[in-house]
Amino acid sequence: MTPAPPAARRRAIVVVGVVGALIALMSVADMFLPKAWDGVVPDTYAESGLQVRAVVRGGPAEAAGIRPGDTILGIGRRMLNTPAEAASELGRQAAGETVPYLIKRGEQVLEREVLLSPYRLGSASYVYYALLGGLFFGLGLFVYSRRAGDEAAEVFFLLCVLFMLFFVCRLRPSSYYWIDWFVQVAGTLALFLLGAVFLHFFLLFPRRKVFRFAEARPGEEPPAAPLVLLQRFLNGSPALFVILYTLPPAFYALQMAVLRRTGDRSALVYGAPRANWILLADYLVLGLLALAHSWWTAREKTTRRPILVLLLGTLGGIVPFVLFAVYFPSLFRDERYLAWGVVPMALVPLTFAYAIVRFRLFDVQVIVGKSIVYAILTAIVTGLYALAVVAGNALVSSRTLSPLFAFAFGLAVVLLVDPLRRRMQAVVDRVFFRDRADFQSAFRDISRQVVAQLDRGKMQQLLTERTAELLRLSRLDLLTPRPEDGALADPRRGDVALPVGAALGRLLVERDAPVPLRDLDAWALDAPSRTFLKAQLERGVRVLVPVATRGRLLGVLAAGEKKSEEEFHKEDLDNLVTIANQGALGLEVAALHEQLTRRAEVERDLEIARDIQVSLFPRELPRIAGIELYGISLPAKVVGGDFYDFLPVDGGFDGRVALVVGDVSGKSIPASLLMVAAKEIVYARSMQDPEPSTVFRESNRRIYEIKRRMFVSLGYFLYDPLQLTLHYSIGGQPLPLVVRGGEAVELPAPVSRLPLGALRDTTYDAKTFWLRKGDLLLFYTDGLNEAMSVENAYFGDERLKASLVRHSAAPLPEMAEEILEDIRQFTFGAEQSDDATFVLLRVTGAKPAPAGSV
Amino acid sequence: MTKPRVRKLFLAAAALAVVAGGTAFAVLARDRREVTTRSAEAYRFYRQGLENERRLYHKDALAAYAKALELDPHFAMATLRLAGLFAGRDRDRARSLVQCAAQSREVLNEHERLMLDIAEAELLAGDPKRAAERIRAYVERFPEDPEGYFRLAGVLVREGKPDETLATYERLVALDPNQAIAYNYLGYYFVRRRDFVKGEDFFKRYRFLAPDQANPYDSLGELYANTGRYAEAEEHLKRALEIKPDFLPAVGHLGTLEASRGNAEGAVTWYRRASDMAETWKERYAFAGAAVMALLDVGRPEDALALLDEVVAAAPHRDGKDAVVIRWSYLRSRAIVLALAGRVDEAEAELAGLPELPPDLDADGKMALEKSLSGPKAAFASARGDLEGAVRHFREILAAETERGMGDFGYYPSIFRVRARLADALVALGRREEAREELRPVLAVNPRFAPALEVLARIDGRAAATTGDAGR
Repeated sequence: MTPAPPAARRRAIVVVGVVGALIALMSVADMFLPKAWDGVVPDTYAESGLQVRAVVRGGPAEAAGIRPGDTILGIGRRMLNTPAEAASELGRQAAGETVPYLIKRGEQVLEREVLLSPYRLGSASYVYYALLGGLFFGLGLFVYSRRAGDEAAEVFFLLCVLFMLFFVCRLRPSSYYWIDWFVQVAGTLALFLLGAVFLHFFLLFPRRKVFRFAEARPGEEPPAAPLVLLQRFLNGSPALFVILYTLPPAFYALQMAVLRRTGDRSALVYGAPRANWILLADYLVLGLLALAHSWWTAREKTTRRPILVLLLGTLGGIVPFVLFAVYFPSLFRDERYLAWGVVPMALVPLTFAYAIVRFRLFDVQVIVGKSIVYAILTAIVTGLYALAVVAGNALVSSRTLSPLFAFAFGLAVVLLVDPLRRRMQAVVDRVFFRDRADFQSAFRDISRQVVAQLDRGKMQQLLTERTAELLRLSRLDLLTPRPEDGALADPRRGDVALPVGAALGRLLVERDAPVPLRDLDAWALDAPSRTFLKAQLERGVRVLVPVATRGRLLGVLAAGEKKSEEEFHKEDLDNLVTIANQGALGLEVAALHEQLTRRAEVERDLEIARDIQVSLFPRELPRIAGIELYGISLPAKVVGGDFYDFLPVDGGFDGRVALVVGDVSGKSIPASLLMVAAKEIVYARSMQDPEPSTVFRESNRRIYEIKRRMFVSLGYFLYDPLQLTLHYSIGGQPLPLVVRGGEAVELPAPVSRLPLGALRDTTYDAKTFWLRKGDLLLFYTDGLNEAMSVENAYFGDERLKASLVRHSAAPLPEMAEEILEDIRQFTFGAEQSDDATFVLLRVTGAKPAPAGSV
Repeated sequence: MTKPRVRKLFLAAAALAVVAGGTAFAVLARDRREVTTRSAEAYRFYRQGLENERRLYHKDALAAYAKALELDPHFAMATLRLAGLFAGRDRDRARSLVQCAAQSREVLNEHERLMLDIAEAELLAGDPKRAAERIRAYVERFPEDPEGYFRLAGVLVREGKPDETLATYERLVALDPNQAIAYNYLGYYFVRRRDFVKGEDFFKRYRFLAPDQANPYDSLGELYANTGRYAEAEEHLKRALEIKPDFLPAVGHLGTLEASRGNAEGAVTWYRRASDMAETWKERYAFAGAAVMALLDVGRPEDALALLDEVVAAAPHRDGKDAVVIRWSYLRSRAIVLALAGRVDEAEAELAGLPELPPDLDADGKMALEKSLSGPKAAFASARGDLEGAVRHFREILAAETERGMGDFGYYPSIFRVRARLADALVALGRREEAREELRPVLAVNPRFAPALEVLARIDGRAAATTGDAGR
């Protein structure tokens, strides 16, 4: 048997509900609309004619002498064959009219005059039945509206509809009207199906019943084959339900066939075969047993409590019903106690309603407004107060008591009202609101903590252990990307991971919603996803919830089954989504926090590097005979790639000093590291041989080996105080400027000017420049002349030369500041794009200073 | 296509559909119309006539049909119905009416044409077989029309097919459970079969459906009178007369009641009143015959003879076969009366003067008349003290009745009376047990039949303490 698709099934259930409600409404309307009434209860199951099943005591038919068992042949001068025709005929008559009835009693045909009375068939007990039916229907509709698609909720809705039809349509006198046919058929259907649906429901609810009476245990003999077969049949076979639902109509057909053969109608109870009533009672008892079994086998206290409440309420309703409304009429043909059986049935819907409000049965959350509850309580207390006052007055008036008694009594009542109200409110709070409030509070707490928590370990604990505890899940794992390959895995376990790019990961991101594993078509996924799914299923995972933000999968929550073994409902999934969203936020915040922490560490390291780098620049400028020196290096980042230094050569004995100005390609830490290295290389080479071309050649080879595609532009100027010359090589550096005679010009350029590290074997040449007293030289890196304005214009060589000439008369430190000021004014507002380093040298012509002063 | 254009097309199509539907309805309705008449008023009278006919108020029905024909002289169905009513009393007029209706054949619908065919076969051709065929064809063509089943049941009764008759009536009731007159037929069907319980059941249904009609009360009264429930019979028959004082059968059945309960004088009174009230000579003759028998019961043969002569003298002038049959029956009745009055020689002379029966008389009729001679023969034998002969002739009478079906009750309970006389003769012969056996069928039907109880008392050697009157 192929199950109906969910949408079709849902539509069918809605149709059943609507039709059932309409028939019930018709029945109620029919019962309470005044009409001409004869007090005859026809037997709707009569094969032909209109047979009198009963006459209402004191009714017109009884007064006219019509008896049960008579056949009504005609009413009002018209012959009849069916109750519908009788209804039609009575519809033509008015209350108060005397109408002739032609009846057949045995072989006799009699004519009786029936004085029709105006009558509303609905009695006080029928009002109760109708309200009870309405209560069932309302409850069923509420549950179904909140849990459409849930099998147990669907069956519960059908059960409620059938209970309604049973009470409204089955337990009513016939009205003769055409409605009767629909109502009686609906009532009979309800009789057939009610028991089966009741049992069906408790086989599904609170969880699907699984029989384990024939399971093989280790060390014991295997159970008998018939038992195993029976267990298999009860647990998995759809034939169980087929039999369940087929039995009542089969019983009906069988017994009606027997009745037709024997003609003995005594086996009919309220017009239906006795066997069907007995079967109904059996089904109800079996349903109760199934519920009791659920309670007995429930493991958790939180699960047992609602089941116990339901069990007690259902027992209280069903047992009297079975006794007084089924067994008594069926076995003893005694219908006097029918009401005793029906009245307690109200316990069933009331208990379910209580369990829904109190324990979120069906996972339906009902938020009852406290103000409403309190208002009702106040009304009840006020009623009690009024009753007490009335009772007090009655007491006073019936006895001779002091008038003070009435006053004291009234006062006592007034004083007791408020405490009583408060006490009742406290009870209501405790019973209906505390658990809910506690849950919501705990849930909010977890959500808040998840976002606030920066420690991933603690966050993991919040997201998994505490949430699982709160949502009553058997397990909840957070799978996060592994640092080594990004695959999703539980960091606390060495499970199978979901690799990056796996189809399941993409699906989770696409759906961005909880994915129950049973709904997944594993064969539509790739092999790694299938392996992962299999591992998760083996671990008891039932639902995967993506922890994602802006389309990025940050992790996955893997939820095991609920401890109550119920299915996941919408509310559970909503809670998991909330937690997953909070988790995503928490993970983002944690990542951001880690990033910031790392950046702070880097900045701290940079500060240290800067300090180190600064320490590598000359702490004080050397005093060299015949010249004045001043140098500045301004890195674009915290640390830069420019450097300058003064190196005494040949141990400083001949007073020669090498001025080195360098610029490493790139910026920040790498540049500064290379700068240090380059400086040390140049220093080492110049110690061996201060000849610029040699230093360049050797340094070039060494720097080339350190890091490819990183270059060092270098100016190496060997100052000879004795000859007052500069012997120099330049690679990749701008040519130094010399101001002589009020004009700034570049020093002569060597032939080879490739930066160091560009090519492995390069030869460099050197130039010699003869200095004169009064010469002002500027050695600089390209960060100076290539300083950029906000309009991306370079400061340029000409501006630099002009600035140098303009400030050439100033002392070197002031001159340096003025030049920098000119540049700042030019680049006003623009960020420094490159390290800028320059050294000023003025030839004073003084005798050389003693060696080793640098 | 633009929207306004589509709308126009749609409206045109709708208008066309309405016109076509209306035309089709009109055509179909024309074919299905019940009767053809130009006058709504005539149709109303026609319906009234039908209703009266169903109530067996033949006089009223006749007047209604006549009124309908006044309003629409070409109203064929009213003409045919009128012919049906005249068939029993004035056959010639009935024939001329059928011929009249036949002139409108061309404008009649199929239903009417078939009805005309039936009437032509019955009245013009006088061919019952052909009429039966036409009726069967009608039922086949209009299986939902109760009229066909009424007629078919009549045919089946004549053909002596009781099971089929019952099935036809049941079909009739199934078609229309409120067809009151059908229950009357069903009641008589079972009464004829001596199933009085079922007969009463159906008569009561009839009474329930038609409490304002005299006939159901009459039917029940007749049943009660013939089954010894005299008080109920009197109540019902008088009720019938309250409803319709000129309801002739009820008057006649009051005579039956009195005759059955042993009040022959009373019976004479009712029979004579019925005879006086009768519209047709045939009816008058029937009631007079009953009165004659009752007069003989009270020992007034001279009055009986006078009444007989009076009625026969009033017979309409007839020629040929009918006149011979009437003369033959009259002389036979006179012979019986004279014999029972002790004037045996005169009686024999009357019998000797019986005319030859017409050669063209149908065999069944001829045989019935010849067998009816057992009556006078039994009377002669009784008068001469030849009790054995009387017994033999009484048994011949009863045998003839049995052959005829012996179901129907006459206004005068003649068969029961014959059995009582037979039993009386047997008692005189000392054959008491034989006499008791002869009375058994009578008392089984009417345990309070006074003449039978008188004989029974003689059999038991006691006075007739239990008479019909004692039960009043």
